[in-house]
Amino acid sequence: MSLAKNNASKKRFDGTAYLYIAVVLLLVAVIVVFPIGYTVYISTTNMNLYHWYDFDFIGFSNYIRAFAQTNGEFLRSLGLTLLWTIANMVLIIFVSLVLAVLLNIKGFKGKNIYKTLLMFPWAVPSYVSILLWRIGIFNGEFGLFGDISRFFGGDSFFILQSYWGAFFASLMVNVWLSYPFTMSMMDGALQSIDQSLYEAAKLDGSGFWRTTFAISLPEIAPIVAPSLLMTAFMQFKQFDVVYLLTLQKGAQTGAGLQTIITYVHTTAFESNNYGLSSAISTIIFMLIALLFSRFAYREAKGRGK
Amino acid sequence: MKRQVIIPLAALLSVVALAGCAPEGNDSSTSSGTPASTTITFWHDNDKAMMDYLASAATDALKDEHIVVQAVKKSGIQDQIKLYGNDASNGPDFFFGAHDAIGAYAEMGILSGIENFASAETLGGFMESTVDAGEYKGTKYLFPLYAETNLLFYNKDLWKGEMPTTTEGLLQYNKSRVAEGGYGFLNQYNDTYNAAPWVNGFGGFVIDANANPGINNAATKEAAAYNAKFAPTMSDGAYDTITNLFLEGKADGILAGPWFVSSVKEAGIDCGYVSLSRFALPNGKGLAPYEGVQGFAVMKYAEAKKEAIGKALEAMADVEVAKALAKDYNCTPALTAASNASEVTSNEMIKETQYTIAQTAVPTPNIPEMGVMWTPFTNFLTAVNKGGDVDENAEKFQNEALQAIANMH
Amino acid sequence: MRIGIKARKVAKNLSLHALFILICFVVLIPIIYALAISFSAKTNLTGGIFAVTDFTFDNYIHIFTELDFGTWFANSLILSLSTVLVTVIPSTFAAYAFASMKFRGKTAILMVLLILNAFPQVLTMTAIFALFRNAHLLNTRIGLILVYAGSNTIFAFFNLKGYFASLPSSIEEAARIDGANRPQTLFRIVLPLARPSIIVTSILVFINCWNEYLFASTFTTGEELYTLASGLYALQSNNLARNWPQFAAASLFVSLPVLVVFFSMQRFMVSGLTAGGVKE
Repeated sequence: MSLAKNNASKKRFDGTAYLYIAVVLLLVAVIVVFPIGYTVYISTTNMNLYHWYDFDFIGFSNYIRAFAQTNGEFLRSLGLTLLWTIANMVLIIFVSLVLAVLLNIKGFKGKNIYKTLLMFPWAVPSYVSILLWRIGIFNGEFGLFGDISRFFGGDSFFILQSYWGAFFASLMVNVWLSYPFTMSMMDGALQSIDQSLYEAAKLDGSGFWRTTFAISLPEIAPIVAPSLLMTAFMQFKQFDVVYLLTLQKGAQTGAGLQTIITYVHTTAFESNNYGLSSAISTIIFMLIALLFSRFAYREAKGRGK
Repeated sequence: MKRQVIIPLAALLSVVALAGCAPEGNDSSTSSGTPASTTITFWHDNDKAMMDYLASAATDALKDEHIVVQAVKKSGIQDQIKLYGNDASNGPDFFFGAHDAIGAYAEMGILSGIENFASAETLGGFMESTVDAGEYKGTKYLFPLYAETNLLFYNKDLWKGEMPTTTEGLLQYNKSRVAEGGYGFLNQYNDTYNAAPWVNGFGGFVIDANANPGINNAATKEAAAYNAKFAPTMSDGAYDTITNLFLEGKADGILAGPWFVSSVKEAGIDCGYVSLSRFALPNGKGLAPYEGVQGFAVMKYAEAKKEAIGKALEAMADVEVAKALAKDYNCTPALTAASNASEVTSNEMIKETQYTIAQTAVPTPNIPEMGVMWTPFTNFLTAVNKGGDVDENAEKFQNEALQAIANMH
Repeated sequence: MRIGIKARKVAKNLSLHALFILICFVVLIPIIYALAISFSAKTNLTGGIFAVTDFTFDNYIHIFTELDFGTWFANSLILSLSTVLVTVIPSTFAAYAFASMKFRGKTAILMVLLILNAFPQVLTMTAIFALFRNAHLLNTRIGLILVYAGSNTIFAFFNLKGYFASLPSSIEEAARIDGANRPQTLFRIVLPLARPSIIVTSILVFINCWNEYLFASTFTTGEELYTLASGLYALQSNNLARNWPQFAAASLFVSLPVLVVFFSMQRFMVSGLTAGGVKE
């Protein structure tokens, strides 16, 4: 039985709840909802370089233009973004789970040191670590990949120049950047499991694997589910990794790898047409809402009764 | 029940109060100096020491007038100027940047013409090409300080034999160096700005004065195909790769501009400079890099500070300032009166830059449409350098460029 | 028999240590790479991945003597800590309400919040900018704290809600029967039990703010409001004159406080549940 279920059974609405959630809603209204509303408003105007401050309402023509430009490349980037989200989530969950479970093995002295060291990818600003990966690891001339390739008698190896090479490299970096958060969430959840459950399992003679699959995982699943859903959103809207590895000015590798956000950035936003790019942003938002509303509804309903 | 309400409410209030207590940032325009002084601020995304020197030189010169000039480094300045364009309370009074962004700002209506601040006499003291570069639709917006072009930097200890006089010679040099396991001269061959010497030299163009993209222009295509011959000899052509290969003494030469000199000196490289105009393409013409002009532009909302800004600009259009910039930062002065100073004439890099400007350099287009050309043009070059079909890609990226230009309106 | 158990324990611990040393090494290759560069007297990227060229501490000394690291550090600390407070406190209340109170529109609000969080905030930067300009919040710390709080609060709230909903209801029930009202239950019972989740969430918010540079460098115009992340960004964005050893040293220094905070928080991570031995 959980807090939620218990109180649901009382079937009484508690008005003070609105006070409890007021500040969060206020913050979200100002910093999240208002800007989205403003973006939608701009999307119906002709705000561009030539009408930067004196823009007018022009109805839905930006949307018509945006849809007219929905070409193969846009759809390809959308497909890639979905693949990217799934691949990342699978790897992130797998890596974080393995690490969190290993760290929580009973009687492991000194685990806090490792836990802290493994936080490093999260502690460095992402633009710095992406740069370190680009130069130190992926650079074909003097990075680790180039060294390895030459060690085996190959040529300088530029992984970021091919589409799937860049995808693989970006995936690697993104998992590297993302696992510390999920790992620490899972670690926190594992530590909050009622110890009596483990003691009972021990009395039953359950081993490490059985305990992990029968107790640890089912216990932490509902706790970490909301943050995993959030993590999935974050992968979907990821920008930095792909952009800084393959598209940054002066370091374009020609891989042609585009997620939906990098695609919009390199096409619509460079034109400085805020009306048009706001329309595209709004369409993307609708798309996200459509794609994720099922998960969001299940999540909201499931634990929100 | 009452307490149930009070506690969350108290928490709410404490949060609000706490946010209210957080210290405010200083308003940059009101700090320092005597109460009677006027502070004017410019933004830049350039060498900090150089810009701080400019600000202090102007402040010193205007000590008696109680005008304080302040330089603030702002990364990603082009986007920032667009955001702060009509925000008089937070934006700068003027800013330092390259001339090619002028057209876009002018269309936005955030700039004031430079003739409102500088006399015709002062502007007449600059090389004509540098003032013209900052002119858009009949109005001059730029107060030029120095000009820059790409040059061939070469490591005197590494470069073997005579410097070639043709691009074919350079290509042969590169090929033989690569065959020996070294590197000849390196370039960011995928990058529009760095491939421009080939494109312009062949008579092609990125965009013309009427905003027509030139990707599928016959000469542009020829240039791209020729540029692609160099690619296999230049590693991956990425900025980080080639600069480090050169700075660490692994490559004999590199295409770069004055901004790169401080790194070269720090690395202790005995470096020579050759104007790109000195390398003849197969058509007999010299390589023709873009000419960039760096200078000040003034925000429209700063017209109220006209007098102070005007004086500050005049103070920076000074021979001594130009000499110092030439000596310490290898800046090719826009000021004609400084071009014969010993600090300028003795500087090999400046000499070669002046030569390029006089011979083949082409000012980077300053029309707003140029801003959307970098991505499709770079993508075109990248595709060709990777072995893609020139005609096919030229059509594809020409269309992308046309689309991008259409999207601006 | 006892010696056997002890020996097995030691062996288990040793093998775990060996495993984690290996994992850390592989995972931290980019960091070790930066560390090697940061101790080099000059840039030598072509010299091999972990090569240190002329070992020196100068790069670390440089970042303190030549850059305004003290100010940046203070700014980062003020911003991050304020944001943690402004975010985590309201989120805790909201998470508690959603986990254990019944009210109209709950599912709808939750769903809207989830979907809102999916919107890439960077796409609305211009809108936030317009809002802040009119509210005179540009160039202020409050403005940045608000942006950070707004962008972190949904995430923080959902993290906390996950934990709160998983707490055994018998505990709260018992407290209510004893006559405790909601706030009392929240403060005396639920919060101590949910301590690990609050700490994890606070660390999450802290790190997000600590490393944020896009808003920090766009919404402030003077160097006196630079944070470590935005100051470093300004340094490297001018990559025309990039000094790798100093950049590496600065980057590692920026991340150090985060690791210290994380490490020192570990001892508070033990749940009230485990410590108090409460049973379902």
